[in-house]
Amino acid sequence: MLFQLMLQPDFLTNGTSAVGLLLELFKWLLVILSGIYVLVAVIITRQIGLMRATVSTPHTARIKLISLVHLLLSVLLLLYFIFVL
Amino acid sequence: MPEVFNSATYKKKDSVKKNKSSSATTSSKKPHHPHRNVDDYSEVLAAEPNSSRVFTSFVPKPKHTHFESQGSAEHVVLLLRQHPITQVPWIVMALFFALVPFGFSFFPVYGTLPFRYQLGVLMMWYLALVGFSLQSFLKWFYNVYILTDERVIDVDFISLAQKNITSAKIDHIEDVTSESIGFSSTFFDYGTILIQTAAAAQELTFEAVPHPAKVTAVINDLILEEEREKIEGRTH
Repeated sequence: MLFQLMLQPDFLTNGTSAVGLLLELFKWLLVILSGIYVLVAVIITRQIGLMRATVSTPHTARIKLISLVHLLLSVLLLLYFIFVL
Repeated sequence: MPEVFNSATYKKKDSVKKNKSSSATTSSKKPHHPHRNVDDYSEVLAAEPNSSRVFTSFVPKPKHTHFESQGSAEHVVLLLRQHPITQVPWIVMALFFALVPFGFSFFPVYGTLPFRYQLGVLMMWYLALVGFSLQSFLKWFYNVYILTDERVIDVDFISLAQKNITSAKIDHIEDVTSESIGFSSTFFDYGTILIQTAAAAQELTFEAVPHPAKVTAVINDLILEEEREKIEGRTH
């Protein structure tokens, strides 16, 4: 994108290209946000492991499963932002 | 008259000896139980059935529930969480944020985005909402107060990275106070229990637990039983 801007100085004044640049910036903003979110999901999953070690009740395996599904969804969203947008 | 050897009598005597010795060994192997069953000394818990329900805030005699540092002869008699009504604020907040995307169309910028971007933003929004709800639920679910026949334990997960476990032996408890302040706590029967222990500057607080009168009664029963154990020499 920066390379394109150096080669074509009218890149930003051209309406279509400006929108494309904004969308590209927005896409990478979403990628960064979802990347951070994946880290949060990993921390939540890890924390559930520690919580289970501290207090073990029936069905805690279900909670672990929910956290793993949550982690999987956050990874899928990150991949969606990288490859589909 | 000389004693005539009778093999049948000898075998009989031998078997009786063997039986006696075997019963002696079994009685010596029999485990010694210093603790009585909680139903024997606590009227409140005797009236409550064993609970296998998980997502509740008052769990008497919970099945398959263990905690870190639990002794082999230690039994969980009551597990408490904050009353569900105290969780309403985050549930309402989550429901509100679940409805917010319906207002996205009022933002002109959102309308100009291509569909795949709109979909991405929506998915991100709802996933973050799931994360928030999951974290709030976990905070409620794992912040427990445990009463065993030996100790009272307060497990606090303050944040994702901070854990605080406080425990006090039953025989160190000096004073138990319960307080229900406000319309909501009176109406839904929940309150805060303050447990003052003999140790300097140590106080356990069971915040917003259901049935505070019952919990206080159980703690008093446990204290009395602990004293009875000491008098009868059943302590170990």
